[in-house]
Parts: sequence; structure tokens; C-alpha cells
Amino acid sequence: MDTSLTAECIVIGAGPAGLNAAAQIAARGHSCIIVEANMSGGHLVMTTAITDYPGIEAVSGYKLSSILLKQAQSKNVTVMTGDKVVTLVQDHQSRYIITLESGTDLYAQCVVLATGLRSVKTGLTEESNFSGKGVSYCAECDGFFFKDKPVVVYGSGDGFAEAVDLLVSTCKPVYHISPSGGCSTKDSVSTFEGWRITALEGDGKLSALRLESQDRKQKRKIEAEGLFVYMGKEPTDELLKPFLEEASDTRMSSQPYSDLARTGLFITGHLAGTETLVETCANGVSTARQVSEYLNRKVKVSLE
Amino acid sequence: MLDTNLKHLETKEEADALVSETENVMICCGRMGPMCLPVYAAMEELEKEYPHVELTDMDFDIPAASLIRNLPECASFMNLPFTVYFKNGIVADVTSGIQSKGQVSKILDNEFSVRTY
Repeated sequence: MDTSLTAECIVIGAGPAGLNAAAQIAARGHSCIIVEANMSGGHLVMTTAITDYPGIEAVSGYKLSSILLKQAQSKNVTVMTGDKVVTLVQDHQSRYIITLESGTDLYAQCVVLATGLRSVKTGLTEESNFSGKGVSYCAECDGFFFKDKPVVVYGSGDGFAEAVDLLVSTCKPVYHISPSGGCSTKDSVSTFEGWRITALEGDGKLSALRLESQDRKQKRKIEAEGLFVYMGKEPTDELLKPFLEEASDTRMSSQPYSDLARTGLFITGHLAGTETLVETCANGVSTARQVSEYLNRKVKVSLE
Repeated sequence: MLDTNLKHLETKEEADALVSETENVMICCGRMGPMCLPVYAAMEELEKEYPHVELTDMDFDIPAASLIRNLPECASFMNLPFTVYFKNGIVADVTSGIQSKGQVSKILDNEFSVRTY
């Protein structure tokens, strides 16, 4: 496929911030395309129960994502999922050009970056080889496969404490290794605070892992059939970085996001620092207002 | 029963009939957990693009799930969900654990010919 599409605004990332922003931009009368590398909803899809969303008693992230998607589509937002943004550049006419993995080029007067967060990987070369063969990212989903077997929880990111609680009831022994500290205080858990895993071993399935202390003076090998990775999340900011670097070279420094917005590049959601779902959705809506004002100003200037 | 918008397979008879009588079948066998939900969501988005494939889900904890759980191809799996692709009743491909929309569509394209849009 080798095509091009044009809209007044392109939203990159179809999580809760992106979907809300796109719906509200379209509701304000602007043409809008939302593009997403995976499926719509982002990390929200993985949330099993949301109990603090205003006006809703309880809902799964899966259901809420589906509602947000339908709301955006009902406002005539063009939704393109499963297609990754490869490059984002601004041409000499201040127009943004987005190239997708499929070969499609998108043109827009402004862009909203809502790429959110992604899970941090271990950085071990063997991680993908043992994925599904001992390496897991969800104790709730996969803990029962390791009943009475030795397992390791790695990291102190979101959900690690719940993972430890769950695993100590089914697996033994349970180790907690955390390079950044914050180890479990449970008596039944053997902890390695400040240690990191250096290698995974096993013949087809994970059977052991090697680790070393922060000062690299101590090394250990422990038998483990399961490794549950909870290394936390990091911003998906590859598309933003070049613009920020350029901004830091010029006048932009104290409020880089505001300055970027003046050039038609808006940042929203977790990438802009929101934490809760409600904050993230609200941020998407307020970004939509800024986008609309930006586009209306552009029209006014062109008419003058 | 899983709380998704996909077609659910609930009995062994229903699952056996679907696999034996339908050319292209994808069954995602899991729970309502964080690693399963994205796969169901991807399948929902892909349903319209692959009308020639039956995209279905199955609760991992019902008796009928033995059809998937006991497959030799899934014997070593240790991540939910177990996703199995059947071509004319034969296992064409299997995956375990979370999969992206791109990973799912790649297998659908490889095993069941390219999407129709």
C-alpha cells in the first residue's frame, strides 16, 4: 500500500488520552485521523477493573476502550490501528508529514503525540527466547503454571507487590530481585536488593538465572522456572525527542511543551506526565481545545 | 463465559464442529487477564478485515478448553492466552501469551491469505 491522507490534525496513539483528544478535536469541527501501532486502548485494555472513573461504578479497561473508540468513530475520526509511525517531520511550510510502516504518508497542520508509556524490558538478550517458556509479564495470568516451582519476581514496577503476594501462595521458593531497590518485605520471600540478572539459562525452558550485585563483586546462580518481569514503564518518546532536542538548542527551554504547541505539536496523556486515568482522559480533552484554538488561529491568519 | 464481543465457544461439541467444518478458524483460549485482553481486543478489530476467518474465544477454565489445552503444540506453553489457528481442522500455527495486532494479522495473512480490504 502506498497512499497519502490529509487531515487538519493527526493524533498519534489511541490510548485514552489520544482517543479523547481525537473525539473532541473532531467534535469541534476539525478533520482528524488517529493512528496507533497496535490496537486501540493502549495499556487501558489490560486493566481488569476500573473503579474510580467518574460516573461509572466499575468497568473493565477492555470495555471502556471499546466505548472510547466508538465515541471517536461516531465523531467521524478516521481510526488507523496496527500501523506504526516510522517518521514524523515538519516541512518548510510548517506542515507535519507522518510516514507509516505500511508506506502511507499522512499530512497535517498539527499533531498530537499521545504515545503514552511502554513496559520496560529486562535488557537481557535471552528474554524473548524464554518468553512463554518461563518468562512472563503477569503473575495473575501465568502464576498457576508454576505451582510449587521456584520463581523470581524481577523489578519493583507497578504491580510487583501484588505479584509477590499472589506467587507466594502458589510457588516456592519465591525470590524478589530488584536493581532499583524497594524489595518485598515478606518473610517468605528471598530478596536481592540492588542486584540485577545477567543471564537466563535453560534447555528450551527457563531453569536458572545468573545475577550480580550492584558493585559487581558478588555473583550468584539460582534455580528458577518462572521469571515475572515488573520493571515498570517508560515514556514512548522517540518521536518527541528530536523536537525537544531542537527546542533546547533554540529559545525553548523552560516550557518546551508549550513552545512546541505554538508550532503545532501537542503532547498529551502519560507522555505529558499524567498519572491517573481520569487525569489522562481530561488532559486529552484539554489538548483538543488547544488544538482547536491553534487551527482556528491558523485559518484566521490565512484569511487576513 | 468471557466478557468480550467475540463469538464464544462454550461446549466441546460446538468447538469440534467449528474446527472440523470450517476452513479457517482462530481460537484464543484465555481468561479476562491483562495478557489475554489485548489479544481479544486485536481480534475484535481484525474481525471485519478477515470475514473468511472465524475469530473466536474460549474460557480457559471450562471443560471444552481441553480441545486447546491438550494439543501437543501447546504442551510446553506457560503463558495465557493459548491461541490456535486451524486450517481445515489441522493446527496451522500456535502462540502463547500477549500478541500485538500486527503479530496476529501476520499469522492470519500467512495461514489464511491476506486480508480482504
